[in-house]
Amino acid sequence: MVLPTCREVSHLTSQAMDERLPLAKRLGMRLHLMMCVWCRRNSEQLQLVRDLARKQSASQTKEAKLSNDARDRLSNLLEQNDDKS
Amino acid sequence: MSESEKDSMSNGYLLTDPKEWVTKHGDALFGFALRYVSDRTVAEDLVQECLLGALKARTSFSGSSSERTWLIGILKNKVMDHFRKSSRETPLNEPDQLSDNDDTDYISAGPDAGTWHLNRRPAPWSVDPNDPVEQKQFWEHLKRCLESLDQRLAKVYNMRDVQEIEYDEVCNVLAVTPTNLRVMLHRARKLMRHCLEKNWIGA
Repeated sequence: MVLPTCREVSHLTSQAMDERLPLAKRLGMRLHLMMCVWCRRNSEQLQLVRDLARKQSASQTKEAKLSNDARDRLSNLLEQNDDKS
Repeated sequence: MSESEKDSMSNGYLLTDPKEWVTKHGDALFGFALRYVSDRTVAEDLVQECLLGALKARTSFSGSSSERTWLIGILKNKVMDHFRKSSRETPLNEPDQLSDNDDTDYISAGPDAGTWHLNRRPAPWSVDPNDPVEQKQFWEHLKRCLESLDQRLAKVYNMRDVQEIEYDEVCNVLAVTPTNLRVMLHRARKLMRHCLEKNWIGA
């Protein structure tokens, strides 16, 4: 089995963040990562960045609130259009 | 399906008075829209279109899902419409510009072709990802780094890696092929890692 190069592993690492890789590619990537500290760091850092980004944005989404203006405007709009129906 | 079965299904969920929708679901809808469009005004407009659309479609509500789920479904359609319109103005799929010119990190020829260049080898990061102060700084730098990306890359990166939208759905919403999305995400992640390393880690 020919192991993937660092360049190839960087593509596989990113791909693996979105889908399950086919067995041969997954094994090749894992073997390479076991032996290559640079690619391992690359992979861990990419994961860390995504984990932190998602964690932060999830807490922001939870706190998202309509402004009072928007709230009033939308309520009025619903009331007006409801009357017409 | 018999009439009585239909009846019992349609009685599963009921709609409340539209006057209460904003209070009950306004923030949730707004938060949902914000995951797709980061602009608050655009998100508000989408919520407005959703609520007006829901008002009109009220009589055809089947009761098979909750009011919230039903509203989110309508909002999702409005989001899709929004991206369909904007992709007509600035198409996202331009494969010729997406050719992978990420070779600068790796040795291009010789016996070591494909391995990291000496000065490009990833160094360890000395951060504590559980430290709330680090996290806050990370978020500020992430936003700034996103702004430095090509707009198309920033968009796919934000949707997938920040807002956690499913891969297939990002393809759908932005009308990008899975292959192109893969190339764009690889490129965006690489650039973001470099940018964060320089500004967040290196600071």
